[in-house]
Parts: sequence; structure tokens; C-alpha cells
Amino acid sequence: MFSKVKKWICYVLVVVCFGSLVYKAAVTGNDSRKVVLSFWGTNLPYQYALEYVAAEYNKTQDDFEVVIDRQDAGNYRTWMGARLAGGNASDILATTIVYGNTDAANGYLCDLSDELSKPNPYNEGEESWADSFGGTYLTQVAYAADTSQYYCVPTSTVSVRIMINKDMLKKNGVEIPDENWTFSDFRRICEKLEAKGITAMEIANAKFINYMVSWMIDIFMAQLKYDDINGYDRNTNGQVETEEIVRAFLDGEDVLNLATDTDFAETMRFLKTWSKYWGDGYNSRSDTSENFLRQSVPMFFSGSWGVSGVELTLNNDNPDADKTNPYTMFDYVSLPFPKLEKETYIDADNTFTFTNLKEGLPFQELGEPSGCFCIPKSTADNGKYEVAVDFLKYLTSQKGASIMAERAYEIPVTKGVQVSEKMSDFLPPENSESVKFRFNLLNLADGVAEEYHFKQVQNYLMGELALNRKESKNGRTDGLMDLIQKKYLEVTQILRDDNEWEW
Amino acid sequence: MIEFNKKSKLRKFNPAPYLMILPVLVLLCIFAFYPICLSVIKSFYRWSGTFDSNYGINQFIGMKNYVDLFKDKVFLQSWLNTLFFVVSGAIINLIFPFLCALIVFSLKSEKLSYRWRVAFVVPMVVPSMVVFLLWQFIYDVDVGVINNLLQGIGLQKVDLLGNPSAVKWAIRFMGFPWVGGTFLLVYIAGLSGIDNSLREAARIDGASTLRTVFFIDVPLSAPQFKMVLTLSIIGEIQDFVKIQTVTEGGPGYSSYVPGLYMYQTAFASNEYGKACAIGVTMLIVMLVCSTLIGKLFKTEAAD
Amino acid sequence: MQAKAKKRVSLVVSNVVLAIFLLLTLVPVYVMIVNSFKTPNQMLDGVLFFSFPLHFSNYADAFKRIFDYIWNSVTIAVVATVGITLISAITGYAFGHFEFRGKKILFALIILNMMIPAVLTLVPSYLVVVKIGLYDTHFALILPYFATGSVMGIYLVRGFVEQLPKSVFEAAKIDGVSEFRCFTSIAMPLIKTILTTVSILALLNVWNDIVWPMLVLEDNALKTIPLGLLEFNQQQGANKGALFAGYILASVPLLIYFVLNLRNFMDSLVEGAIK
Repeated sequence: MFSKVKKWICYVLVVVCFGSLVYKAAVTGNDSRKVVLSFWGTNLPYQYALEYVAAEYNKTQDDFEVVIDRQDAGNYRTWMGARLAGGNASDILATTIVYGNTDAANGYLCDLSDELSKPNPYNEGEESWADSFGGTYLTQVAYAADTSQYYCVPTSTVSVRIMINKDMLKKNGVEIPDENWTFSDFRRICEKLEAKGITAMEIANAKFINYMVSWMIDIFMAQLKYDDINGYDRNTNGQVETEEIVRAFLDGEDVLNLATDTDFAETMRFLKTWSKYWGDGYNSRSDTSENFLRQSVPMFFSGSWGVSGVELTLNNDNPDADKTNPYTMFDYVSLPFPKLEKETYIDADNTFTFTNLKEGLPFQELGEPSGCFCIPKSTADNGKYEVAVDFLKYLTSQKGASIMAERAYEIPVTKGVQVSEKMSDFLPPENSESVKFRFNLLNLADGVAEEYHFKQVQNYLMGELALNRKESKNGRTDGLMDLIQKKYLEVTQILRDDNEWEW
Repeated sequence: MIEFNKKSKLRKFNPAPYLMILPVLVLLCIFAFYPICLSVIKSFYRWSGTFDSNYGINQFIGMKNYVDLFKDKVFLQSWLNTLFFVVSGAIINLIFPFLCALIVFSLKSEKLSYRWRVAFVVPMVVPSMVVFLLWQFIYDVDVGVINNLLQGIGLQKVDLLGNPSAVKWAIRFMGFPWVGGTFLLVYIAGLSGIDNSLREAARIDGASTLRTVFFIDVPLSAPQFKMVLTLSIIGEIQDFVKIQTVTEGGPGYSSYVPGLYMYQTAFASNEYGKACAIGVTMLIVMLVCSTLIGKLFKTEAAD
Repeated sequence: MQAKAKKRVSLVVSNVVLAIFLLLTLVPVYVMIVNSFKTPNQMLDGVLFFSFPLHFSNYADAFKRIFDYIWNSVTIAVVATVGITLISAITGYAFGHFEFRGKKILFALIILNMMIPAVLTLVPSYLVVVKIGLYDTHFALILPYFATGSVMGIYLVRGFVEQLPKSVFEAAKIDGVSEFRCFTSIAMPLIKTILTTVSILALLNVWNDIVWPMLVLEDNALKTIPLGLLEFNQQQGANKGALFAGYILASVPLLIYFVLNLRNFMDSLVEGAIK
């Protein structure tokens, strides 16, 4: 009896499942009215803000509907690459400058330069859409192989900071530092806290997606090799792009050689010495904000995008936030990176003498355009190009950008838009310079090489790899600097040959 | 008799088996053979993954992908790691589930034996993704179970996933004690298939339990061992989702595997040709392994 | 007397060893259950034991977030499993029962697929799916599952069928039973045992697949449970307790299946053992 009932349940289930399958296939066809915007991330406020902008935009549209689609962060590039290759990407895709350049070189993307020279209907009194972007944010996203072409538009910028739990420092008798703090100040704070058995600061270095050490390398190198890097920026647009990186390594007699570069050696040595303040187990930690929110660690290294995560837990606007949680009720502040001094004292054995240091520069960590969006060619084939461009214009207009700034704590790149109050200390200081040269094999359109850098630096920090050949055990094995230089030469040579660059 | 059979087969053509095989062959042609051929051919190309001849790179370069790979230290290291996982995985899968199967099978009480089987099969309902994430949580350096335990008894915390000498063992120990899986079922199915009169005969002859196990159960489970060994080795060589979820091959390259390298090469660098070459080397290794296993078990059977 | 005592000791030892095995196997399950009832606050007090009061609201939270994913996974798994089992039965029977020209080559061709790393075919398979217009539908998952998922099943069924006594079929043939009837009424009941195993293996594989759904499913409404869990796991400020509750909910459909079918499954094994 029971087995008969079960048999029938099984049959019904199979039929229902099959029916549901067919029904879903019928319902979710390619809707010619929908314009899908895909982005990646774990940042819920960002998603909500984008959805809000889309909803506002859809109110003004009769024929089309913009739909926001969030993708898994770790696999976004895979997903996007396969989608572009298959010619069925979403109508608007979030991208980065590097991805944009690669995909443009593959011919997957629409050139937006015509549109950029026309005015943005959602702004007033501007000659062109291009004019509405502040700073050099737009020129930085120009196509590397031909800077008159634009394959993506920026919506925001990011910066990297150290978040500090003020309450916790006060409780432990540590004075809150100010923006001009130096590494000596930082070391004193660390020592004071560690004397009380508290880990002063945490860094996550487990996965490539949170490769924070790379930002430190860039910031230090930007200050130590200031003049050289300006020399590499041949078109002086404030960013050393792919071709300029390639030239830096291959063109001329005085090429960049990281295997023998003393500044690079000092930077890496400094990082390794400093790494003792990163909290045990940083090589397997992938989330630092957790311990910060629990108030077990007073400082952590974070990007501006991390603010929304912190706010989501602390913020009272968030209906889901746990307001009874005493661990998450505290006051915090974010500070720029501590400044290097010519004499930076770490401990009894290590005093660093940064001979080439350019002091007194207000450096904006990162500061490159982020939140870039591109339009794949398949969008144009489906007749949605116009509306996709129109939505991007709306998103980057003053109205759209202020919604994003207010609701998602984005730092806008559109002129005349106020940044959210909570983000005011993330704003780049006046006359600040952004990091121009990424020393992490970044911007060379080779993800495996980027990962290689990350992993070899990890090996160096763990003591598995010597700094250079001289310091290796037998004096012959390649050290970190040799390996990085070799990889740079390998990748840049391929790029030069592929693009037939001649200087 | 045999001769006669052969003749009759030649005389009468029976379409039934062909018709029965046809659907799966068609599906396999579309979703397996064509992609495989494409992969093998493209492993001799520098290929950016496009089919449109107007853009992207699609250039024949002969053996260059393979030559590059064998000069690549990362590639070699990833194979060394895989060797560790394959060997340790094979040992584990040959011993632990079989041991468990033997004990379960040896229980005289039908009811008890049945209950144990149920108990070991039930944990399989947890999706593998959840298992990976749970083990990651168990090993977590800040909030993990192991470190909670260690701190609870006043010991220093350990960083299992961030230590290059520990990480491979940590990944290996995921799923400890490795008995609640399909292999257990395979072994039990095998033991059930052995003619019980053999065991009875041995017992009557006065053989101890241990002797019965070694001279009857182990040799007669050879087909199961062969299958488990083959599946385990092939599985270990191509499994990378576990490692990607838990460590992404880190720290450094100490838990990197060829599958992960192939995935990254294809999708992070758009070097589909090189990725195909990695895939082909994996394919060759797997074929060699399974041929060797086949040979091994054949000679044993002949003895 | 002595023999009896010996037997009892060995029984106790067997049970103790099995109990230890089982307890160790269940550690992750225990961790998952214990933490699924915790608020973020309680999580700080340790992750080893239950914290009181238990927070059942985590389950409501998790259910709201992942029900759609679970239903998608269920539909795909059911259809794919039924298909794979049928295909395995038919094809495996053909290989095990008949003698025909090219049998060895065809079988080798199919079994070869067991050695193909899935990632090797990822991109080309994806392009095929796009070309035949299956992209972003559940059929993009199911048809490749039918193909690659049956390989293992065919291997198992063929092995089983080859061991069946040929005389049964020969007798039937002499009685004039058609090939079709031969398969449905003689072979099917005999290979039921192995088909159960095949279906369970297939179900587990389909249920746990991660990479392929990630590539071919775009619409959030179509995504499967591993993708949903991955997303849930990565959300910033996500409630960890609800995450663990989500893990448990994701295990429930398979649990139900096992509970309903366990007796069948086990009985068939036990029967085989007695014979």
C-alpha cells in the first residue's frame, strides 16, 4: 500500500518537475524589452542603490526596462569572458580598465567615443558627456591601443584606508592619530596594544581577491620612485597604461629592472618586516572586517567599498542590523596610510633609510576609476544600444551619481556631486596624486600573471622564497625580485609582439 | 559451439543494440566528443577562445604550449601537489571505506548492520559545496572550530590553511575519516556479491576471521578495488573546485593543482590554447594511470 | 563458551569502531547544526556548543533567501536523474547483453569520457549550448548531464548485466519474447539494484555540480543551490547563523529522498548478500 503511494508520489514529482522545467523555459526567454545590467560583488547596498537608480530610470521609459543582475564576485571574470566569447553577454556589463582593454582588443565591445562627444541629456549646460567627468577619470579609461577610443565609462573611484575603532583605542589609552600619522606613530600604537595582548591590526592575504599587500607595494613604490614613474607616464594622463608599462620594461637603455631595483628591494623588505603587525595567520584570512566588527581587533586595512559592509552592520538605516549587539556599537574613523619617513624605525634590528623617498606628497591610495561599465557588441545586435547608452548617461549624470553616493557610499567621478557624509574622510585630499603605476603585473591583461605575483609575494612573506639571488640559500636560486622581473619581461614581450608596438 | 555462435551473428544483423546506444551517442557527440576534439586541436594553437576569424588570436604554434608548460615551475609544482593528493587519496580510499565496509558486513545482526549502513549513507545528503565551506570554517584561523577548541584548552591557535607545509594535509583531512561516501557502498555491494559458501567453507576449515578477510574478501573484491582506485585517481587529478573554494591553491603554490591552473589560464588570462594543452596533459596522465591499473589487476587475476 | 565470549567481544569492538567512524564523519554536520541557531553575538562565545536561547528565526531568514534555488535544483535533479537512469539502463543493457559489431570500440568510446577532465570541455561545450539556443535555460544543464552523467551508469549497468545468467534470456527468446519485452520485463527487474545505485550517484553529481551551472545560467530565477549558497556566503554583513541554517535547508531535499528510498536501497543490498 505504502509503496504504491510512494510510487505515485514519485510519478507526480517527475511530472511536476518536468512541467516546471518546461514552464520556466517558456517564461524566461530572451525578453526584447529587458535591458540587463550585470555587475559583480558582495556589496548589498551597492546593489540596492543600482536597483533604485534603475527603478527611477524605468519610470521615464515606456519601451524598455532596465534590470539589475548581481553576479558572484569570484567567478565574474570567468562568467563574463565566456559570455562575451559566446556573443550573449548582458546588455551592460560592469568591468575594469584592464578587462575593458582586453575585451576591446578582442572586439567584443562597442566604442563609446561618439556618444561621449555628444551632450548628456540628463545634465544641463555641458558641451559633451565627456565634460561631465571630473579629474582625469575619463582619460584613464581610454583604450590603451588607441586613446581616441573609449570602451567603458567610469562611475566612481575607490581609495584604500585604515579603519580605526576609536572606542577601542581610547579604552586602551591610545591617542587617536590624525591624518598625518607616520609609520613611527603607527608602530608605537601597535606596540602599546600588543603589550596589552591585543592584535593591533589585521590584514587578509588568503585570496587574490583581497590582495591588500599589492596596494601597499604600489603606495610605497609611488613615493620611492616618484620621478621615474612620472617618466613612464609618457602621455602624462596620470596613469601608466599597458603600453607605457611595456615601454618601461622594454624600451630604451635605462629600462626598469625590478631584479636589481633598490627601491623595490626596500619596499619588499619593509613589508616583510612590517608583516609582524598583521595578525597571525594573515595568509589564510580572507575577511578582516569580521574581527573589526567584533571589536577584537581595533584596526584593519580596507578599501572604500568596505565601508558599506561596516555600515550594514552598524548603520541604523539597515532594518536587518542587529541593534541589540553590543559588539557592533562603536565609533570608527578611517585614516590614510601612515607616511613613510626617510628614517623609518621598526625595531632594534630594522631601521629603514628610504634614500629616494619623495616626502610630503598627499597620496591618494588607488584613486583609479572604478565601477566602469561597458556595452558589448551583442547589445547593439539586439537593438538595445541606444537605451543602454541612455541608461549609462543617466547613471553617470549628477542625479544618478548622487543616488549612488548617498545610498552605496560610492565616491563619484561626476563633477558637482557631493559625496556621502560617511565617506567624506575617504575623499582624496586636495591636490593629491593617485597611484599611477601598478607594480603587481596588473593592467597587462594576464590574470595568471597577476596571481603569480600574489602567490610569489606570499611565498616571500612566509619565508619560502628569498628576496633575490644574493640572499638565497645557495646564492644561485631565483628570489622574488628575479622571478617578478622575469614574469614582467615574459608578459610585456608578448604584448609588444601581439600589438606590434614599435617606439 | 563458439564457432557456431559467431557464424549465426554474422548471418543475422540485429539493429536493437545500435538503436539502444544511439541516443547517448548523439548526446555525447554534441556535448563531449566535439568539445574534446576542439580542445585537443586547439592545444596546438595560441587561441583566445573566439570562433569569429575577424578578431582574437587563433594562431598555430605547434608544440610551443607543451614546451612552455614543461619549463613552467608552477605547472610542475602543481603536478607534485597532485601526486600527493592522488597517492594519499588512493591509499585512503582503498583502506578506510573497505575497512568500514568489512566491519559493517561482518555484523551478524541484520538489523544492526542495516542501521550502520543507513548511518554512514545519510551524511552524503549534505551538498559538497556545503562540505567545503564547512571544512573551511573548521580550519578558519580566527573563528574556526579547531582553534576554538585549542584556545578552549589553553593552547596556541594553529594556522592550518596558511602554512605551506600543513595546507596539503589539511585539505587531505577534509572529510575525515573518509568512510561516508559512495566508495563504502561500492565495497559493501562487492562484499555482498561474494558467494557466502566460500566463507563458510573457509570457516569450516578453521580459518581465522583475519585469514578469511585476506584470502577471500580482499582478493574477491578486486573489481571493486580496481574501480575505486580508478575513480579515486581520476577524481583527484581533475578535482579543483574543492581547492579553489578552500585555499585557491595557496598559500603560495603549495596547494595548487593542474585543474586550477587550467581554469585560471583559460578564464583569467584568456589563453584557451594553453589551457587546452594543460587539459590534454591531464587527460594523458589519467589514461596512463587507468591503463596501469588495468594491467595491474589483470596480472593479479592471472595469478 | 569461550567462542561465545570472543564473539561478543568482537561485536562490541566492531560497534565501537563504527561509532567512532560515524562520530568523526558527523563532525561537520554537528558544526553546521550547532551554529545554525546562533545570532552573530552568540557566535562570539564559541562555535563548539549550542548557545541558548536558540534562534529559529535563522531558518526563516535562510528559507526566504534560498527556496527558489532549492526548487530549481530539485527540478533539475529529478529530471536529470530519471533521464540518466533510463539511458544508463538501456545503453548498459545493450552493451552487456548483445554481441554486435563494433561493441568494444563503441564501449571504449563512451567510457573514455570518464577520463576527460570536465574543465577541458567547458568552453567548447558552452559555445555549443549557445549555438543550439539552450543558453540560460535548464535544458542547458540537463542535456549535457544526460550525456556525461550516464557514462558512469552505463559502465555499472553493463558490468551487472554481464554477470546475469544468459540462460534466462535465451529461454525467453525461444518462447518468442521480443527484444523490447526482454528488456522491460526480464532485464529491468533484475538490474533494479544497480539502477538504484546509478540513480543515487547521478543525483549526487547533479546536485553538487557547480562550475557548469555557473556558466550557462544567467537568470537569478534559474540558479541552482550551490550557486545560491556561494552567493549567500559572500554577502557582506551576512548573518553567519542564517548561513548555516541555509546549509541545512540545502541538505533537506536529499535527506527526504534518502529517507523515502533507503529501505529499498538497503534491502536490495541485503538481498544480494543473502543469496
